[in-house]
Amino acid sequence: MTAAQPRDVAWLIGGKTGEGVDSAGEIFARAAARAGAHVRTFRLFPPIIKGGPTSYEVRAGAGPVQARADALDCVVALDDAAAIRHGPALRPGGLLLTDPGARTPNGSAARHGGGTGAPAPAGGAMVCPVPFTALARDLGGPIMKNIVALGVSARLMGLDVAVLQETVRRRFEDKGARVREQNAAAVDAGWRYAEGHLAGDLAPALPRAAAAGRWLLSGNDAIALGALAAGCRLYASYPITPASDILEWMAAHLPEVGGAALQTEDEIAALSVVIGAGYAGVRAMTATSGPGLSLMTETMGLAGMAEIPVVIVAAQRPGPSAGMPTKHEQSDLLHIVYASHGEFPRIVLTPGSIEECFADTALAFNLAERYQCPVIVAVDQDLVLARSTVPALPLDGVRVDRGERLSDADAARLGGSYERYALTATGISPRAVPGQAGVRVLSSGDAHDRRGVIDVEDPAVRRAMVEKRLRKTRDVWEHAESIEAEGDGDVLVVALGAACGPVREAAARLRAQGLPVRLLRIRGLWPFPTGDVAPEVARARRVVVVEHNATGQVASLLLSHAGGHAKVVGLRQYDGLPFRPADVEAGIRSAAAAAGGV
Amino acid sequence: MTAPVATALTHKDFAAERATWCPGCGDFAVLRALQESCAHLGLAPHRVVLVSGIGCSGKITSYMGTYGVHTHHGRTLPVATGVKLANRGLTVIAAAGDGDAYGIGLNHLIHAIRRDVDLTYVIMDNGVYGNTKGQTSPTTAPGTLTPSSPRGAVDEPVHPLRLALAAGATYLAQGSSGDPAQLTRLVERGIAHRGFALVNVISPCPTYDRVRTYAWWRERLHNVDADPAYDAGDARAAWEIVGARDTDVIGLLYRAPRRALDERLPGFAAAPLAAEPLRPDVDRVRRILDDEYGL
Repeated sequence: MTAAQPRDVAWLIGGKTGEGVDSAGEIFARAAARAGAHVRTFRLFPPIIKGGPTSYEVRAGAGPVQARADALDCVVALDDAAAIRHGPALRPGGLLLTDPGARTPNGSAARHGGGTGAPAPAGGAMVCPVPFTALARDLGGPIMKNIVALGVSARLMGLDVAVLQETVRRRFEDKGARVREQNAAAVDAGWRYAEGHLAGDLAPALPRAAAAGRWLLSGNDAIALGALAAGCRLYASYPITPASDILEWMAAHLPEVGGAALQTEDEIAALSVVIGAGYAGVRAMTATSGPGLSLMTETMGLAGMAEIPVVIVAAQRPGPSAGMPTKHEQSDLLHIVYASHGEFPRIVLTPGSIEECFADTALAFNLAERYQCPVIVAVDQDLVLARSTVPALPLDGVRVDRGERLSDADAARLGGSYERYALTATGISPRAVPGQAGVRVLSSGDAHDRRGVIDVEDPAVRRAMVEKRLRKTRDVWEHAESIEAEGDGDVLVVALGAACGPVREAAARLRAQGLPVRLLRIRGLWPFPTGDVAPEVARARRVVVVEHNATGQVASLLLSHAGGHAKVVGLRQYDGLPFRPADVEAGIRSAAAAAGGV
Repeated sequence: MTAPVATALTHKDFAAERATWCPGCGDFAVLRALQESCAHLGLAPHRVVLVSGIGCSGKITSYMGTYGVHTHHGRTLPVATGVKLANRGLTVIAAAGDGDAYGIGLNHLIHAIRRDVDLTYVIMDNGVYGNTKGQTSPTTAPGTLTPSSPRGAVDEPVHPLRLALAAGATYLAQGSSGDPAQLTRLVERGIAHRGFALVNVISPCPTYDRVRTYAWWRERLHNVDADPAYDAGDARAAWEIVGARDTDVIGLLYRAPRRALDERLPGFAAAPLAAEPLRPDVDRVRRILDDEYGL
């Protein structure tokens, strides 16, 4: 990725939940992507189904877009609150489209600044009244104004109206002919209004190119796809924001491959189902967010003790307790790394892009079976909900490694002498699954010996079994990427998850300004990859850890396992929103100059 | 269902570690009933999975010569559900104590019943937390003196049979460790039932319950299996008897046909998932995805 593309354009539609803001945003993103732009979306929404403030940002560029925009070029405000909330985010000269008479950020009513369609400046932005509601009413009701707004936006931003019409048609494909006709008419009405009343150069044009071979999808979509491609056939979870999309995806698609998605009574049951399936030799997964992960912690320990492979997707949101259910944070990282009582190995992967959500989820199944332990794919709200254009995911490029399994021949040969928890050099013992004749496996959450027989007395057995389990994951980063570094510089910027996008963009800008920045993305958080991270820290003059939490959880792990006390500085955001690239850029610049110490 | 094996099996084919329950514990009879049932049904030991929880009852997986998962407290049912869906060719039995089933894991019981997962749930109900030395359990009678109720238990107990009927159980039986032959029949028919079979077992604790002994139960248990007029296919009859007698009844109380979960799941593979190839039909999946995400 080079410096931010100068032609990046950011458009936002805001209004109330239930007004079709999400639908309009998705359609606009898809249409822009179909016209050839790289896009990334950013939703700001409340846990209120009808009537709460909501917005949908679409940032479009000629190259990959990895973060929300620093400033907006065009805001469609379907109500006063949206104008007041998002108007200030417009860049100077940006365009605010609202109904005539609506309130604007500087308190004045939107009005014509002169002749028909001439925008009036408001707080550095241009206010352009457009009769969305009146146009929509003529077409059958005010609910159509979101689609009218798309027609207006398309005309202003050079989006091919045929592409928009086709995207709208596909969106409402199964809604009946009347709905499709109404929506087509709404696009047309908006387009014509803009053509007849508004100057053509009010807003910058969307980038255009060939879109062939690209998909537009979310991190949640990519996670579900990664699981499917890796052979996941059972999925169990309890609905929770922001992970519910995965449940809905699995419920729609697992039956197509003979599998099933189970909506369980709680998250304890969800992970327990996954344990049962893992014990029986089937790849299974659950996904949740902080509150659900808290419920799963005891169950996770059973998988650790009984050495049963499980894959858990933990999509973080702000806590504690119910916190901010629809917002973004990375404050469960230490919980994910340490959750459950006692000591057992686990692997925590931290993908930082849509493609990595796919690849790491698929990889998680291999690691879970290879190391016979819980593998957690730790993601966050912005990463799983934002949609981005990416090259079509390599479904058939996924490698499957089922780890060490006891063959049927060995089962017959070994019989009663088979040791499910044999003390091997790697700590990994070949696994039998029910149905294999000749052997019998008892997998217990109680301490047990090599054969699986419960032993809660013998100190030597205890010591040997603890050490056996803990040595399993020693070589994990020889089989998976723990870090990815890019760029050269004595300022090391560390990030993971959704922090990677804005950090990468900020780092590119800083390099262009002459500040040498090296970006270290952590792909594997646990076992902490000391061998890979410590040399990077040692080489750096300053280490800036960028994360979405208040206490510096990534920084604390880094300090504990890779040192660097005198030179580590934290850049943290914990207001429920992901970083903007400009915030990171400024933060790194001042941190690079500041004295060390978190 | 599991294919019968050629040679005649006995309970000894399902033996494993020596049981460490207290002498006289009702759980011995439950273990024996499980072993006899599997033998009578001709189930191959490697095609049976027993899932247990925590407490005295949880130890049963160590003593049963089949595959087994000894889970955390109260979670036998969701783990057993995962095993069954992963391999519908296996016979899956969950065993629990009254603490597992009616205390910490009660939530799962109601949901397993309404899902009608094809498994057999055997509850070793002794009305006491034996493994932690005698505290009250969800089925302890009011007024009972225990270390955690030194002035007498104050709560109304859970009524397992009424609860199961209300939740929509398709196989409901209560047996007693005092009548091992009948208990074996009830477990055996529960395993054969295609759906969720609940067998609550009066399994006296001779160490911590000196009141509700085998003799005490024998005097009050009414056996519907001995009553030719009792129709286990009649839900009203079942409601009437558990309404009148609560837990003072043994036998097959209710049985109704319904399609089990693995038969109701849309698109669910006919062969066990565990035997299916891992890789999906990539071309087919790609068509779906191009349609969903393509531009």
